[in-house]
Amino acid sequence: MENLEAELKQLIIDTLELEGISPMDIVSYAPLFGEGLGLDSIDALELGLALKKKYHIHIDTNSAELANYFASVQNLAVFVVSQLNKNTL
Amino acid sequence: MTDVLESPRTLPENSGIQEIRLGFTLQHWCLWQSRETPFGEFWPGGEVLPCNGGRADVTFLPMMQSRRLSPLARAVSAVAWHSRQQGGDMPSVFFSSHGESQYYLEMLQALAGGEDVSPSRFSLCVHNAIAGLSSFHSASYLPYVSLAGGTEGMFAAFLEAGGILLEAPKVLVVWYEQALPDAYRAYLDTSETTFALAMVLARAGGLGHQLRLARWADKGRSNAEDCTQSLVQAILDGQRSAVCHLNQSIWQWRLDDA
Repeated sequence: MENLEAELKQLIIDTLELEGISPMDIVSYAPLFGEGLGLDSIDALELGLALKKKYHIHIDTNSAELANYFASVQNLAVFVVSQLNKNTL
Repeated sequence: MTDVLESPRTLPENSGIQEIRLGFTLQHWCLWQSRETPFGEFWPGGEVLPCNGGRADVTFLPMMQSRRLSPLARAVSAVAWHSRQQGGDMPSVFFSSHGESQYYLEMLQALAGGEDVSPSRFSLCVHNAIAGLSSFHSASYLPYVSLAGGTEGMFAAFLEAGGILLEAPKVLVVWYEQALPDAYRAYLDTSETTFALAMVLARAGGLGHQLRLARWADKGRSNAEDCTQSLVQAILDGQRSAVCHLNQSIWQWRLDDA
């Protein structure tokens, strides 16, 4: 899971063009949106697209849990793993 | 008010043809272009920002605001910000013939290929996105308009500015272009240079150089793109007057000392 979290941090930096930020600067459990890293709604859409392209996972935009999945890198990693497991079933 | 936008007149040499005259006080101008600008006898009262390796310097913005800016948006942001530093907040008119042409071509290609479209690219390629970002960067609550092409080329921005000056003491005009993607070049020839030019304009007769423009309807002999480049070059060469032939009109402009 730690490797995945590191991978996701790099994906966030590259996708959202966070110049001057390194994976070390992103705390896995810290909020990604609003008060934490300060990402916005467009970032959420962009990140969703990047996850879909990289991991070939389905993101249900109607899911009530969606905000929770994207709340932190930690949550995102759990979500990606759960979706990858679904794909392999 | 007639010193800003005078009533239609008739030119003696073009009897019967309606003419529009505009007069402004040019309080400041600011230009950025993607190639080095050799020092020359520039227009007075302005500045050319450093080329900065072909990417306008926007370090005055927090990273979270600057990160998504395209090269064109960076250019606009830089000249608008520097002009507002000089002239304070004011209503603004943004003009570009083609805007973020690279972005919308990429989006069309992605759609044609059945791919998903980048949400941030989509949101930033709409024509008023750059104007909106600039307003946001300056924490401005004053109105702005974003104009595209049209038969009057960038001179449409001066018409709009004249209108705004009927209600506001000064207005920021920002005009920006970049090279069109190759796919469009067969239909329209444009410059290779990306540039953004900002002008702080006030009503005619104020303190500063006087920019006077006259327009009359006519069958043009060239297109607006040629005029675009010639005005930027005129500023850099210190050229004080010119005549510009568009498809449906002729514009004449002159910069006079205060």
